[in-house]
Amino acid sequence: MQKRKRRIPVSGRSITLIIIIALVFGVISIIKGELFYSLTNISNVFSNLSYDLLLACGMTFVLILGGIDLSVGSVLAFVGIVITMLLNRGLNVALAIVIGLAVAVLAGAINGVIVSKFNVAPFVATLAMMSSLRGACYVLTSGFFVVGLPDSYVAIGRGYTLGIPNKIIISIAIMIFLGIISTRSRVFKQMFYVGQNANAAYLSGISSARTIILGYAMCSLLAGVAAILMTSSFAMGQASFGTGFEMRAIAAAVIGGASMNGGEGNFVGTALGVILVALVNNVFIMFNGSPNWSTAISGIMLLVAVAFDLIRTRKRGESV
Amino acid sequence: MSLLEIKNISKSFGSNKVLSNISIFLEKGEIHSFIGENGAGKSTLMKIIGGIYQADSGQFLINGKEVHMQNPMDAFREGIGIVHQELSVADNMTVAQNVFVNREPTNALGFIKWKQLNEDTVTEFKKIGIDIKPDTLVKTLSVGMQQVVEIVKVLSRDVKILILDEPTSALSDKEISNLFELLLKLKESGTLVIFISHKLKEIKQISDRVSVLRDGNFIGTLEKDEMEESTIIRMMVGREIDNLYPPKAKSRDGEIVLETRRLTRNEKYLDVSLKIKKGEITGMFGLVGSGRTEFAYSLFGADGVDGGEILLNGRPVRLKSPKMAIRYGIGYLSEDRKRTGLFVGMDVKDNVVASSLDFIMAKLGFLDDKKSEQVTEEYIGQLEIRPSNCSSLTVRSLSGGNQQKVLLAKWLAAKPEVLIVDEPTRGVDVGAKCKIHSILRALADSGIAIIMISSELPEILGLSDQVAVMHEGRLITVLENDGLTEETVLAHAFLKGGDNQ
Amino acid sequence: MKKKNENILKVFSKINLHYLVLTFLIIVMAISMSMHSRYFLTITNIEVMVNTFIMEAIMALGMTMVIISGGTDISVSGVLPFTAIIFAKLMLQNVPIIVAMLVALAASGVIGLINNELRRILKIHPMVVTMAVQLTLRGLNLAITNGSVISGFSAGFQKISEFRLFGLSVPILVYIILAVVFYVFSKNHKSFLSVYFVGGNKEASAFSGMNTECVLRWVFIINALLAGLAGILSTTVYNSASYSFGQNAEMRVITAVAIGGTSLTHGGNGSIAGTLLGTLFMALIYNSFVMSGISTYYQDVFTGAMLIIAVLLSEGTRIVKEKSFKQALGDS
Repeated sequence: MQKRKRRIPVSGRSITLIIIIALVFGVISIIKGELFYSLTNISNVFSNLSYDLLLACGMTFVLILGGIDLSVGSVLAFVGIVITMLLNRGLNVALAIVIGLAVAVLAGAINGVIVSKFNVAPFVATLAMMSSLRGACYVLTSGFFVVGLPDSYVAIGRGYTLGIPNKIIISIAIMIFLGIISTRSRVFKQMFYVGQNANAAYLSGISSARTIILGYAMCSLLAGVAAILMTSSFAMGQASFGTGFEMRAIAAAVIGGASMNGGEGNFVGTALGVILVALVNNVFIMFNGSPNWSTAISGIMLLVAVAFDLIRTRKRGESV
Repeated sequence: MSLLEIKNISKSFGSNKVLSNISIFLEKGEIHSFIGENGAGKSTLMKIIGGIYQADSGQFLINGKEVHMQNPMDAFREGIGIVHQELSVADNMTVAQNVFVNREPTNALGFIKWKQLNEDTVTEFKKIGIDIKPDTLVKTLSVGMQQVVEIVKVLSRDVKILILDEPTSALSDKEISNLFELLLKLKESGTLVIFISHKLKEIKQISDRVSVLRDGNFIGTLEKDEMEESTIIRMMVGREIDNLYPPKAKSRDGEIVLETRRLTRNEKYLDVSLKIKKGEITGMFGLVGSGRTEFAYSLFGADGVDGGEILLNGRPVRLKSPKMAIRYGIGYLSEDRKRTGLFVGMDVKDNVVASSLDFIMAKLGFLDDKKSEQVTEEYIGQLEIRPSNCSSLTVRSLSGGNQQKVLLAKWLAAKPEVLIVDEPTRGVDVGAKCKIHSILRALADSGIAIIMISSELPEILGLSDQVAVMHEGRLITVLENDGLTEETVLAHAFLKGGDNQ
Repeated sequence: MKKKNENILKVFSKINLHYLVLTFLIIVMAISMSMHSRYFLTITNIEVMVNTFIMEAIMALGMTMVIISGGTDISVSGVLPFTAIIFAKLMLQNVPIIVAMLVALAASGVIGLINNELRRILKIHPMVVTMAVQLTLRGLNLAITNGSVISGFSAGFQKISEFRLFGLSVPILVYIILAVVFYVFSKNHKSFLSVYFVGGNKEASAFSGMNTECVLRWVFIINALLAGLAGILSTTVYNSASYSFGQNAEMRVITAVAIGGTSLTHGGNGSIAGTLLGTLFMALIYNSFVMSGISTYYQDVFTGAMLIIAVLLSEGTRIVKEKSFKQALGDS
């Protein structure tokens, strides 16, 4: 089976997604009109999208490695709480951000170490990290919100540059950066090898452990950045932030072309997946009004995405 | 009337025609072998007989009556049992549970009658002359014994036709001779034994007749007195193959590039002192359990060392990882290409550059796609990898021989000074085998030192300049390949460091 | 090789090592807890200890089966409240208790069937399927009840929570019966043993004529039924039904099974006996939380840590076991 090679990593899947998104957009615009395609609504959709974009990009790394990271939502909340609590106690903004991101990287590195050195299944390891961090969030805040943040910090999430919300600029910029280095970077390519066959990668001279740790660390780092965007945007830290976000991130990445078996994934697809998931959520809320269904919708979309992914992989895998 | 008549069987997987109009007669009470290159269709044919696949057209007749096998259970019902190449025992269960899986004696409520189960198991094993404790956990048994369990599992269903697919690849010599004794006994009692193998010697030893398949076609059947190696090879390949091996090294005075002094790894190998010279092929021969692969792992940094030293170009080195070994110019072509060598889901190009990402491909930490493509094309040409436009195809879609060539290309691209190849032609058809041998010799001629681990004596003798014989973790001797015979090497392989039998 | 016998002995001792350590830990914990507080060994406390964990204990029996078969079922924490809600709603419609119970149970069985069919048809790992189903159920539970608690059942119904036989409440009696049945079946009945085979080597089992799909179908159905049963029992205990029943239960259940030695990563391994020990262990730990008044949030952190430790331990013994095998088998 030939794979078409292009300079930019745009797969056939991405084109399909663009078409689907355009269709959904078009149909709903006709049905719901102004309510849907107004700048306010679209801006809304894309605003909330910035967190999902970052988380889904991070998840793409981990999926390529053949793993999964269920802790991203909790990392988001935890880092958010760490940063806001530090800011609340008067720490310098830049320093607080650095510490927060360091914590994020540490969490991811721990995930990576447990998966690579201790041979624990990624699902289990990150599930445990998820509940540990989430619990830690509640312990630290006793359920209260953390407020009292300096304006300079809040401006990050709430500010506009050239008329576009900062959140959108930052997340898209990061995504583009990742997209560019992903085609050429050796380290990134190694993730594909490790995800395909970790043993063969080791015997080919690729440092599997290091690559895995790096992948999980990157994923959590991006969750940390998302934490900064969210806490500055809401001007508070909350222990319940990010609940259920991991599902959307996985759904988006898988819809975008990452395989749950590892060894596949690209950022353009992931971004499109994020947009699609956000659109579907937005549409559903418009028709139904009850946000309670949001998690259920994520679940169903995830199922559908993974189903297609597996049908596709199975077709290719006929034994020789 | 024949016991089993295969009539006009054809099978395709997608556009790939794997079997074309196969018609053969097989009789009861014979051991009938099948041989052919990789991709010739032997395994597929057996899986169809065993009910795992269904043929696209054609029929099977057992004792003249047409039979249809939709699944393995149908095949069992017709008295056909198949022992696969990959073991299908549940190693977390006991021997008794495995032998009678899904047929355990139970009471009316479904509870298993343990006593009877164990007794029945002992009985079945006794039928082939083996004593065993039925409640042994299968995972504690050696690979050879596990295979026996599998065979008994099949035999206990009273099969008239027993199919064995490459049964000897993971067995020790003693286990192989036990197996052959068993097969002869079965033949006496009237069972038809179908035996698939790559190994000409074994086929000559055990078969009454051999059928040759090539590219999905049935070429012919030879009787016992017609089984000449050259005839069989010709039928398999379609051409005469003489000069199976390229000429050896002209001179043997290259400098020592790699040396081990009393190298030891606890419970794996002991006191191995070996000198490897540039431009030479050192064959490493030994029986299963001799520690050759473990030794190679240590040389490659994939496993540690408990004693002794490794010297590279005269300087002692400590190799902590394969990554480090590759940097030092040592490469290792794995024994099991699918599990530890290739990335079967990725394309050929990605596989070829996998070990060279660091120093050949990188430019500012970025990969040079054009160069990767160029290097891949070069090796596709040099190694004659087919199909020739395969650079963007997934490795999975290539045949075994071509896959092995891709694996070899990966290591050639890493430009090693010392290349260790572990069973370089296992599961590879004769044509590709030849090519790989000539490449290895060409590499040696260009100054690279090659260590070749192999269990095939002809290959060892045909290619090596010196032969290192290992037995149970010890290096018995290093012999110069000057008129060396198989008997001499084998004799050394059986002796333990000097004892005489 | 002569070394084979020595290694087999080593292996045998390691198989039981896990249970020995676990039993030892349980005894140590029990002793230290009783020394720490004289309330520990009182009937009231033991009742509390049991009641805190009894639903998870019941679900752990089914979960053991699922994990042995090579999968996981995350949906139990959604099935439990779902069944409770259906049960409650039916009773409020004046459906007789027994009928309501059977219908609710049937519903939970259907969820189990859905879990399996989705897994089978879409060919997705059960972990992912059940997670998606769990999310869907959680959403449904919230939506159906609109966030409120259902209550106001008949007086006859309230009597159930007060029923005692030999001082044991209904959920405990149910658990004891189930535990015994599961244990006996797991060791001696063809049906449960086939789960071991399917989990160990599904393809080979199919080649041997086993209907592996049928086995898996029943595994998921039974597991869901147990979760449904736990939901019904919860309703009797709390005299109400809420979407928040069994929140995060799947974590605790899986952890209990993992602590008991059943491997999450390699199917075909594990035992009910181990799960019983693991359940006891978890119950003790949670009881110590209750006694010292630690918040529920800490408990979640703890569960996460316990799960990691449990898996590390079981993977660790596996790695050690495999190392000695390689020596016994020689190089291949």
